[in-house]
Order: sequence, then C-alpha cells, then structure tokens
Amino acid sequence: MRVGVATVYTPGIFGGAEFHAENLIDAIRDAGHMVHRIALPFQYDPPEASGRALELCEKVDFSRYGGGQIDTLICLKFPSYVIGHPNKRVWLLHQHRAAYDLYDTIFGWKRGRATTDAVRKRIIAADNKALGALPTVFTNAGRVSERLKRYNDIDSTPLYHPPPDAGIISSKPALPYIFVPSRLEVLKRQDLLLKALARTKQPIQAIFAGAGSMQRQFEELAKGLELMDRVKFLGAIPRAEMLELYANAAAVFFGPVDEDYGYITLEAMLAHKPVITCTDSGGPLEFVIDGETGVISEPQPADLADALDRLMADPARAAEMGENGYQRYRALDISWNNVVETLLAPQPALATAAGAP
Amino acid sequence: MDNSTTPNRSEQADAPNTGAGAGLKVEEILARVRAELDSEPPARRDPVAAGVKRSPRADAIVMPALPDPDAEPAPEAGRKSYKLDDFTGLDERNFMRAAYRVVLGREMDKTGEAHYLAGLRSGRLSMVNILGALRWSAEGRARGVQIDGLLPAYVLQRLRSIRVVGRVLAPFVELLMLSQTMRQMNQRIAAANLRHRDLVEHLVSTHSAMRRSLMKFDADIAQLDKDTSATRGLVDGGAKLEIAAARQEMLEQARALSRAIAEVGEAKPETAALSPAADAHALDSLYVAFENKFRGSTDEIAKRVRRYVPMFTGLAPVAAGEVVLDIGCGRGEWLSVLTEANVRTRGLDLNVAMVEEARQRGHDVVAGDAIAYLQQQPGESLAGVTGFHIVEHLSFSQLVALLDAAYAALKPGGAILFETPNPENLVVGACTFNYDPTHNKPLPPDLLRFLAEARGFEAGRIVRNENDCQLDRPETGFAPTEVNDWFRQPADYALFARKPDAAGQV
Repeated sequence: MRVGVATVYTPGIFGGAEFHAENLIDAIRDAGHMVHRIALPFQYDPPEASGRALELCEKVDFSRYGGGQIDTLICLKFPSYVIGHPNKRVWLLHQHRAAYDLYDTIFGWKRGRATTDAVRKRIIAADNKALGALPTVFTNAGRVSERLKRYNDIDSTPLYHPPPDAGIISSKPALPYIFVPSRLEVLKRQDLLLKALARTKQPIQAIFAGAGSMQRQFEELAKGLELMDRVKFLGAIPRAEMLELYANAAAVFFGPVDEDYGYITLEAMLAHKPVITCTDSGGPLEFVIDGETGVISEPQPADLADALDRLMADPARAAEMGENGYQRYRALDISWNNVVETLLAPQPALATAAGAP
Repeated sequence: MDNSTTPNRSEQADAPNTGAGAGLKVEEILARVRAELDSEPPARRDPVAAGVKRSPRADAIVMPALPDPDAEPAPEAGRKSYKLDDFTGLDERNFMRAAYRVVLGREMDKTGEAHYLAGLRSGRLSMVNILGALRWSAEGRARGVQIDGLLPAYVLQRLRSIRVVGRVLAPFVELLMLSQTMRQMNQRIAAANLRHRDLVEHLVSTHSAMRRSLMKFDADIAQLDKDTSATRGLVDGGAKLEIAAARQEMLEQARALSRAIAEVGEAKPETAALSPAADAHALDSLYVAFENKFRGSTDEIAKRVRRYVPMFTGLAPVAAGEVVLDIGCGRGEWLSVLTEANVRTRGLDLNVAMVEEARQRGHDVVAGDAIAYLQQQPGESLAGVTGFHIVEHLSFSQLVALLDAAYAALKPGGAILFETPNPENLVVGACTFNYDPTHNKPLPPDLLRFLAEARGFEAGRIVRNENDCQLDRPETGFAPTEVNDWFRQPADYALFARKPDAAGQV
C-alpha cells in the first residue's frame, strides 16, 4: 500500500514529535508499505502563524487527484489533519494546546486578546470539522482522547505505541533503590519525591537520572532535607546506563503533573518494575493499576512516603507487581505492528464496501 | 526480547527477593551497576550499535509442525544389554529399524525389509521370531548383543515350529506366550492411542492456524480489492482522457505526416500547377501545426474560452434548444465547453484537417465557408453565432457580409461573439498579430463594436476580462493613463452583441 504520513515541522527543530513521525514511518516501511512523507512548515510564534499554517494545510487537497498516489494518509499533528484526502486516518499526537487546555494559563494564549481569540475560534472550528468528519480518530494516549472529548465532543480511541528501546529493555533482580528517570523539571515533580523520602520510616534510596532546568534547585532541596547520603543525581547519562539502572531498580518513580503519555511508565513495565505515580499524573494512570502493577499515591509528601514505605518493606510483593506490570504491557499489545495494522485497517464503512464484490 | 535475564549475581542465591544487598548504599549500587555495564558485550550496551529498534513481528502465523513418526523413542544402539520390552510399542517399520540397529549394528537392508516386514505385517512372524533370527544369525552372533528374555521366548517359538514337537508343545507354548503377547499388544495399542491423540491435537492446531491465516488472507484480499477499485477509478477518470488526448495527437501527427509526404511527392517543380481544390487545402496541416505552436494546446484554449459560457446559457433561444454555430471551430474546444453546459452546437471550419479532428471528438461539424453557409441557413434559426480569431482574417467587405449573414440567421434574442487579438496591447498590435500569415489587419475594439451595431446588433459589449463576462456588471473599458497601460492590456478581446428580441429588447 502507498501510505502518506502528514505532519508539520518547525524548521530547525527535531524533537519528540519528529522522532515519533520517523519511527512511525520506519514501522510502516517495515510492514512492507511505501511511505510518502508530507511535512508542512509550522511556527508557534506569533500566534497568528498557526492560523496561517492552518490555511496552508487547508489548501493542500489530494482528493481532487484521486488521493494523489496515496492510498491512505495518516495525519499526526495539528493542522496536518485538515489536508484533503479521500482515505484519511488521524493518529493525534496532540491538538494545538495553546488554544485548548493551555488557553488562559501561563503556558497558552491569554483570554480576551482579539487576535489570538480569533485564531483560536478558527482552530476549534477546523478541528471540529476535520476530526468530526472521520469515522474513527486515533490518539496517542487516553489523555489526548479525554481532551478531544471535553473540548470538541469528539470520540476517539487511544492507540499506544512502544517506547524506543522496547526491544532491549531487560530485567534483573532488584537492588534497594528507586529509579527516577526523567528530566528535572517542575512539571516532573521530583521535589515531591524528595519531600516524601525525607518522611519515610525506612532509609529508602533513590537514583535520579536526567538533567533539566531544576537540577540545581532539586539538589539544594535534597541537601536541605539531609538526603544526600540516600539520593544521587546523575545528570544526563548514556542510554545504556539508563537501561541498566532500570533493570536493577526495586521500583520506578514517575509522578509528573498531567503527562500525556510518558514512555517511562512503559519502560518500567518492560523492566518488570512496579511504578510509583500520583493521582494527577495523567498518562501513567492509564497503565498503572494501584496495588497490582504499582502504586498510585495522592500528590502529597506524607501519602507518598507511606506508599514508598509499604512498597519497599515487601520486596517480594514489589517484584510481583513488577511482573504484573510486564504482563499488563504484553496484554495491551503495545507494538508498532499493532499501530500500523490498526491505522491501515480498512475503516468499518469501507470494509463492507470492499467486501461486497 | 529478553526480559527475564537469568540472575547472574552470586548473592542472588541466598536472598532472591529481599534484593541482593539490602544494606547496599547508593554509591555501592552505582559502582556495581556500572561495573556490570562494562562487562556487557558492546552490542548490548549500545542500543544503536545493536541495531535494535523495536520488537520483531510477533504476529506471524506459525504452523505447528506434525510430529515426525520416526521420532518415536526407539532403543538406541550401542548399549550392552536390552530388554525385550525395549522393542514393544514401536510400529512395524520402526521396530525393524531398531532391531537391525541394535542387533546387527547397521541399517536395515532391502532383502531384510521385504522379508521380515511382510512377515510381521501378515502375522506370520512375531517380533520374537525376528529378533531371535537376527540375534542368532552369523552376523548377530558375531556381535553378541544381550537381550534379556529373548532366548527362552525364541526357543519356545522355534520349538513350536518343529513339526512333531511343535504339535505336542503347541498348547503349552500358546499358554506361555499368551500373557507376553497380550502385554505387548496392549502396549502397542496404548502407544498407538497416544500417537493418535497427538496427531488429532496437531491437526486441530494446524487447522486453527490455517483458519487464522485464511482470515488474514481474506483481509488482505479485501484490501487489495479496494486498492484495485481505487486504481480502476483513476484509470476511468483522468487517465482515460489523457489516453484519448495522446491517441488524438498521434493520429493527428500521422495524418499530418502522410499529407506532408504526399505534398512533397506532388510539389515537384514541373507539377507546379496544382488543382485548385488541392491547393486550397495544401496548407491545412501546416496551419494545424501553427495553431498548436502559437494558439495554445486544446486544454489551454478550453480554459480560456470557458468564461464566455454563462453569456450564452442565459440566452432565451439557447434555453429553447436552438443551435450555437461556431465558425472556424478549429479543434472544437469551444464546442466542447458549450456541450458540457448543455448547449446545442454546430461547428464550421474551412480546414478539413480541423474538421476531421473536431468530428473525432464527437462534434457536429461542417466543412465550408462561413458566409456562404450562414446565407444558406433559414432565417432566424440559430441561437448564436460565434467565432474565435476569425474576424481578423476577413477583408472589410467580408466582415460586413459575415455580420449581415449572422444577423439574418439569428433568432431574435440571439447573440454573436467574436474574439480577436487586442491591438490595445501594443505588442499584440505591432508584433504577435503578424505571426499569422493569414491575418488581415488588427481590429480595434471600438471599430468592431461600431460595425456590429451599424449592421443592426445592439448592446455591443467589449469583453476584455472575466468581469466583462458578467452581463449585469458595467464594462471595464480601457482608459490608459500611462504608457505602460498600452502593454498591460489582455492579448485578446471579444465582442458580444445581441439581436433584439421580438419586443425589441436586448
């Protein structure tokens, strides 16, 4: 099949979304299809620029050329899904968040500004029209689906994909430490873990891997809490060391604020490790079952300290949870094969049409 | 994917779950993890070097292999001693194979196979007979393999086969052998049952694997059907037109070529005096080539003339189904766009090559002179008379005659439209107009309008652009304010004028 993958890019930036698109393209090629890549330029700033990108995508219409040599077009990001094509699939990475959940917060556009409000109105209208017209919309994660339902009242199905190193993550018996593999940022909330560690009854140890804008502050905090003999900040480390630390950990902490998806949860599950997360962490909650494959704690130091104590006091149970987590990962069939097959599967309506000769 | 790496730390043995060093400090843990990392083979250490990106396909359909019937456990050769029971439970062929390997230390030969296997299958020989015969053959004796319980059984069976003794002994031998034979039979039946069950199980799983692959196959075929029909759709659409156009072009070229060859043949100096008819059309195909080069492709022209269509669809005689006559219809581009808009058309052209081509496109086309043709038409019979790049070919008197003939042939409310090069564009007027050797002289818009209105037409309108095609809008006109304006005018304009209807209205 000739598959198109449509996305937008900001010249000079190659981040998670670009990496994600590349992985999808590789997976589609591996499944034996031909891939045609469509990338349209996109600027976040000034806000009017997103409106212009929307117009640009609206003008790209493959349907008048019978699909333009593309059998199925997979669209990933706003506004690539407004591109015209007779056989379009959307696997939504995220919407234009500045106009939705981040609107009127410090991260998004301010309410009441005529220019951005006008752009926002157009974006919402375009999303409603383009996504609402499809029989099925796939999203990257349940959080994205929730938002789509909340802001646009459009139903969608989360379609999970594996983390990049899924094939080589291994597991070893637990050494007594909690692994904290994430960039050191406010939203990743490592400070919450530090405050909890200061309150645990046992001297629980933790290893933090990753650099970030909050590294200095978090280290100061650890010092202030007199935790320096129990915690270690490694900064940015090679991927291989990262995997080794996953493999040897007793548990993995990942308690961000409202994460979309988060590979860390999945990587921990693949390493047969229980995951400690929080009730407001978003993505991890789709995978972690409290008391079964890990622990879901209130985002309060005292609650988290209790949870840590309970988990670390019973290593046998912790190992069992880690095993359950791995089984859960397998049961969810998180694989690129599944992603590609699901995206390229004939849509219900089309399937019947093709079935009747 | 390896997710259950075997514990390789020695401490694991004593405390598998409480974690090796419950008392290990963070520093020690890190030292250990890093030491372990260094001892890993490089491929495992570096995910990129390992070339591993994601788990391999896990959904391939695996057909369970049927068990190899030869894989039945047979007594292996080379042991010092065997029991008679080692050989029970095998089927005939396997028993024979095992007997040869054990007793003679070699594979069964053809003679042995034919003789013993047939005897075994017919019941004439028993396993004891065969084992015994092999064991106490010269070859078997030389090897001297020990098989417990074989000797007495073999002797008894041999005795029975000795005529007299056998007859006397027979009942006893039967009795002695019975329990042993029964046991062997039971064992063989049990073994056969087991094999039967295994086979059934394998058949069932093979069947379900086949069903799964069939389902996948069906899905693939459904997809393929869809792909195919999509492709067919493509061919039906654009490709068909393209193929037709390409075919047309090839035909045209072939015709032009054969005509050119004929002309070259005829155009010898001594045959300079050509017949008038041949002379009249000798340059027809040259003109086709000329049109292709300078007037634009069929598609381009169709695009250019499409803007005039609404001016005709609104005419009462057109709505009543009367014909619009296009003089000098050429390849029929204008006829095509009118036909698409449900307007009845007829074409007229002097050039027989053009006529032929337009006819091939399915148009009603007549070869002939425009003025003569119009004069022959019954009065008030046409809805419209049009001509693209015609009027600039005519002399003044011919032009007037054309307007008069058109007026007479038109129904009241009908219209004329004549497109011609626009000398308001100085490049056109001074240069490009003269490309066509058959052009007479450029016609300034106002002159053409004046002539039409002077011959009875009304509401003459100069159409310079799209805007002018909308009859409810005022005419754009041309009011140059600087020299450059004389270069920016559209290269063509058209005159549109109406014959007043019965009420004298336009």
